[in-house]
Amino acid sequence: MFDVMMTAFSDALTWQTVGLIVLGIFLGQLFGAIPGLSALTAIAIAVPLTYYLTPVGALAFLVAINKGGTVGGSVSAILLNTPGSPEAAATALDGHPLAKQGKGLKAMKMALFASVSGDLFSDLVLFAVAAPLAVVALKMGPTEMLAVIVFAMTIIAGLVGQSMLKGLMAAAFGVLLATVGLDPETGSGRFLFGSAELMDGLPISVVGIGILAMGEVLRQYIVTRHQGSTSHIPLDSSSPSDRHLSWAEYSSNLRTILRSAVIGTGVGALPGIGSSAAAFIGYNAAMKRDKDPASFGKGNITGVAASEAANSAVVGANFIPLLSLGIPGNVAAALILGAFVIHGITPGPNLMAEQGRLVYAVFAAMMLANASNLLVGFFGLRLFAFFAKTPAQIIFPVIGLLCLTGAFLTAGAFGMQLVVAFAAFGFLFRLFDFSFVTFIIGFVLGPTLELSFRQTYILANGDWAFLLKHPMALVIFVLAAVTLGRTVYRFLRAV
Amino acid sequence: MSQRIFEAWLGTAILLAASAVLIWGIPVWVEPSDFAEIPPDLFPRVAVGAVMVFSALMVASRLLSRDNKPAQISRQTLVLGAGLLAMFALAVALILNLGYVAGGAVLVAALMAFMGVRRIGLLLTVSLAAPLALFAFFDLLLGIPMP
Repeated sequence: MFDVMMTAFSDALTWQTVGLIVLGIFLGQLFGAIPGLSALTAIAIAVPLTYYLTPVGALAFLVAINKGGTVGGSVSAILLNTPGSPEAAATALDGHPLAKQGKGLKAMKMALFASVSGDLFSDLVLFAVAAPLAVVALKMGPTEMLAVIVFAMTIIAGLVGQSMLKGLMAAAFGVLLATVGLDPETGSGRFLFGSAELMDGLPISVVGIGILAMGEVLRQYIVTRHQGSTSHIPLDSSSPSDRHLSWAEYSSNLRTILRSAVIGTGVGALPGIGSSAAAFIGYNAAMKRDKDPASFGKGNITGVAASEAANSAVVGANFIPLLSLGIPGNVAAALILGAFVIHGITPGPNLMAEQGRLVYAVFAAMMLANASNLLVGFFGLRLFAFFAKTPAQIIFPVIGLLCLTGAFLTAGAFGMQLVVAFAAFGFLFRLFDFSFVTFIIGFVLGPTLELSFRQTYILANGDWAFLLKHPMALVIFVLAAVTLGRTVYRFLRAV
Repeated sequence: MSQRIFEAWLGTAILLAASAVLIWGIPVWVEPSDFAEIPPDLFPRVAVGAVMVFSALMVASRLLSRDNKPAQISRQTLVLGAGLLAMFALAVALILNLGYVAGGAVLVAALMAFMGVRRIGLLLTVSLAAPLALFAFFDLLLGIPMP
């Protein structure tokens, strides 16, 4: 075990991997800083590029983008009162008032340090629980896997906010699109429309670029057209104390950062909730416990620390269900799951046993990414602030071309045609308020759900008493039924 | 039109589309198999059936709701969205037939003009520089053949 870990660490410490991590952090922070873009867009576009990388390099690159994005989102939230990524919305509540007081650089530094601290905490939790959880997961067969996926779907159903039915429809639509290709048992064609390219199913990269990246970009073209340049709040004032974050200021917020990190880690371990919820929960918790709650929303740096630590702690924790069960905790993890599959690796209960070296290499890469996040963020703050203020009329057309390019790299000319179709879906999802989160999770989990169901059906041979021989699965099914019942009850009360 | 009535119509449209897929689409587009223990069309039917159930529930819940806030969807947004998608479809055709740089330049220029850029110098610079830079990066540097 120790030998495997040492070998894995040496895999992560190659020049190529370190370079990819730094590049991924830079791209993540850059995309996160630009309003309307996010790490999701960057990951969706970057997944096809990882075809040409080693598995360790590919995963390190994508994980680094994810981590960088949570830091980058705070830049435009603080300077422009426009979150660069959705999870930075809570950061803007106190970050922007601080910027208006001439303390923009101080706020951004607190956001950076709190973000890295929260991320580091959740990574350590991931390292601690992934292996024991995988041991438990190894005892799981197809029946247990089916139960876990059904349970995950019921949790997601309860967390899609006001539009529960729309979220469920989107998830079912995702499962339907996942059936495109060849039937896993017989090889019969399903929804091929005479196209040989669809025999392998719809490429996750193209679906991700279309639904996530292009869908958002299309919306931004319409929302930001004719808006002109953004307003210019100075990054900092002439006073040195407004530009620097002292150790005393950081250490006085350590308790808040730790509390938010715990909140973010707990939220991130559950599929479907996401960083935005964690950020607001962490922010509210900090406000309630502060000596001066009324100061929140007016430039209290503790508010910035709380929201950033929470939203960043989600990143590492999202990998807990992904690595141990093969269930993505959020959309970014779903896209990274796609990258696993591209490289011939199947996340799930057997991953630690079969690919332990790869898993520990990813852990090492995550630690390196945290350090890179700190360094790149610290020295690149002014650069990202500059890019955050670049007019949308320049950034978004280029991003549109980049999306088409990513689709071409994935699936050639067919991919470019397909991505436009999924861009239409992505645009309509946003327009009619359907959850693309549940869609992507349904699309990614669909094949595993179907395979688990088939295997369970065959093993059970029509005998319902088969479930009694699988008490873990039975308990999880009951939990799923209870969760679904509560969700339906809350929904009916609201109607 | 109120938001709830609009969503009731939307749910109805989805219900009808899902019904069409279930009744006509799946038999046409899913190949049957005589020796499968689980027929190939089972999961697609389950997924489409779920869409139908949820859309029917959505129609019912919106009709029963008393919230009459106005619909937030605008026709202009739909038209602009359709126009943008047509622009991208055209760009794909241009990229595949005329080449990446030419098609990419047309796309970037059209999108910048759509978003309100009227300075010709800026428009030409960005619309040429972006596809050239991407072409140089992927085709020349990484050796990945671009159209």
